[in-house]
Amino acid sequence: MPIPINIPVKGPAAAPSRKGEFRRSPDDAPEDLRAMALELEAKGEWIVQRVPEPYVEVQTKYGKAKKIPLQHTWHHKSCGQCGHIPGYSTSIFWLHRKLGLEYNDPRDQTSCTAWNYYASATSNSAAQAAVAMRNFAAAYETGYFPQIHCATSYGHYKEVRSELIHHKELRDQVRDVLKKMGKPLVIPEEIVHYSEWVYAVRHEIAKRQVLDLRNITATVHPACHYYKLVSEDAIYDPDVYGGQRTAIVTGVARRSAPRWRTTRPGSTAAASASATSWSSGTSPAPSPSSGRSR
Amino acid sequence: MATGTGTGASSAGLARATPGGSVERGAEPPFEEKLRLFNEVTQDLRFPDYLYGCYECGICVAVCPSARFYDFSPRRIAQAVAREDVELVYEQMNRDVWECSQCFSCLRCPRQNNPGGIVTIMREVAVKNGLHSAKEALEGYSRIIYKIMSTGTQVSPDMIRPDAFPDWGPTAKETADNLEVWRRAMPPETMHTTSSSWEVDDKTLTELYLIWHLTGVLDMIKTLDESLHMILVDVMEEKLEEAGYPLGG
Ligand code: SF4
Ligand code: SF4
Repeated sequence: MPIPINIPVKGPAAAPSRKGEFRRSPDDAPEDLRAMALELEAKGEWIVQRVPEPYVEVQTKYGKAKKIPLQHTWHHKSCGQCGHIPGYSTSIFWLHRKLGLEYNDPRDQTSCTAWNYYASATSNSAAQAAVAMRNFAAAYETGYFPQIHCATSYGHYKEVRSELIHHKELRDQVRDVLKKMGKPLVIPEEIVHYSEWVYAVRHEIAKRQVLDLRNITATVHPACHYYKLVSEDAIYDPDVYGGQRTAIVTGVARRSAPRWRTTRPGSTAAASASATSWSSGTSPAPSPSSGRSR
Repeated sequence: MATGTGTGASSAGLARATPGGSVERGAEPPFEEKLRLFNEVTQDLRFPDYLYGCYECGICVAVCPSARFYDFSPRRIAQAVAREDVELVYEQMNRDVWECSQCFSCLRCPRQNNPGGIVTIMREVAVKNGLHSAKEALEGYSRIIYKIMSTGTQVSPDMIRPDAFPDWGPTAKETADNLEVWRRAMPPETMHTTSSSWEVDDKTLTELYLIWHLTGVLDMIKTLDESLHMILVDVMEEKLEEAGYPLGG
């Protein structure tokens, strides 16, 4: 006679609502570093530079919203791009001008120096954090919000943010270094990569499309060329490839091919997003995945 | 960050501690010296976030590009520090760590370890203590260290030389010959430069030099390469003093 088995089995945290649909559970999300940064600000530890309006709210890997500022951005340039493939940064600026979005291309910016650090180890966590925070303070002094062109800097700065949040002794050391140069300790509310901005304005770019790119095959390795590290802060959109891979490149590539469906059946979000307007000085309409914006 | 320095450095057991703390090729250092280096690794503030124990599952090895091309294993790195195997960690600091390409694919460890991060710390300790493996692995890299530390940017247009970029074909020569003109023709004014990635303000550079001084990076360079250190101090000292940051040599 079979022995009845009555073992409590915990089902998957978020069962798929229908076959083929992929969802991550917010229960698996790591700690909320942005909330922790704001708590430290309330304790007087540092300043959190707020994302300027207008911005678009997008969704990250575990469903948290991320604000992507549309303009008034401070462009943290990339060594590799500016040094050897300058058409890259030039195009980012060109897109801003084409869309009538204001930006700042600073000389008061250094490399994050992480490329050298991970190659040669001729630096340390305090120096790396101080370089990052010097750049952030320089952006804050101009009133513009950092938009980071380089995937290495973008990944590295997210790690630096985590180290600074978790280690008071590191914050104290870096604050002392910055104090000597008369700069405050400032962390941006969001750490934003240029490709996230491209994703946020993809419908506006598509409106100005002059070439038919539908027969072009595009590919990218997002781990190397986008989020680098800390993938939970990257954009994942349920409307783009079922949320199974980062949305930034896939979303833009799909938008450039008009014959393709850009949203799930029944979704009206794309229509509202293409009505996006930032000329009024207020926040734009929500992007397909955002749900809301302020 | 896939910036491989996999050079296959010197084999273990060939390095020796000197009274000044630096370790040179020669006899084995005493166990106490190896223990001191081990403790430097585990006392790094990031270390507790990089190791939570190890299942020996080998997932990190399966995803590691360096494991495919070298006799290298992120699992062995995690295991050696987890078991507090001072001798093996010393051996790894003298060879294995320079075979990691710092791609951080191993972050998918189910135990939430960061074997690549442990390697970062071990390399840093190797450089800081002047281990022979670090000197050997970074031989020929001084030019890059000089560029990033002195100009605040790592990749400059004037690095484009036909001999350095054979895969660019005739374009590399054409670009190199007319570099100044190419750069002037670009719309962003910050890129009208050939010796750095973009134009960096003098005040900005001075602030960067201050960071190198105050965080001990210049001291690391001194242990690694004395002549590079002298050149860098030369470049930085005057600017720092002019700006009112008297730091001495
Ligand atoms: S993936 Fe993690 S737990 Fe598995 S062998 Fe590597 S370090 Fe150990
Ligand atoms: S970072 Fe990790 S996965 Fe990448 S080469 Fe090093 S040990 Fe291997």
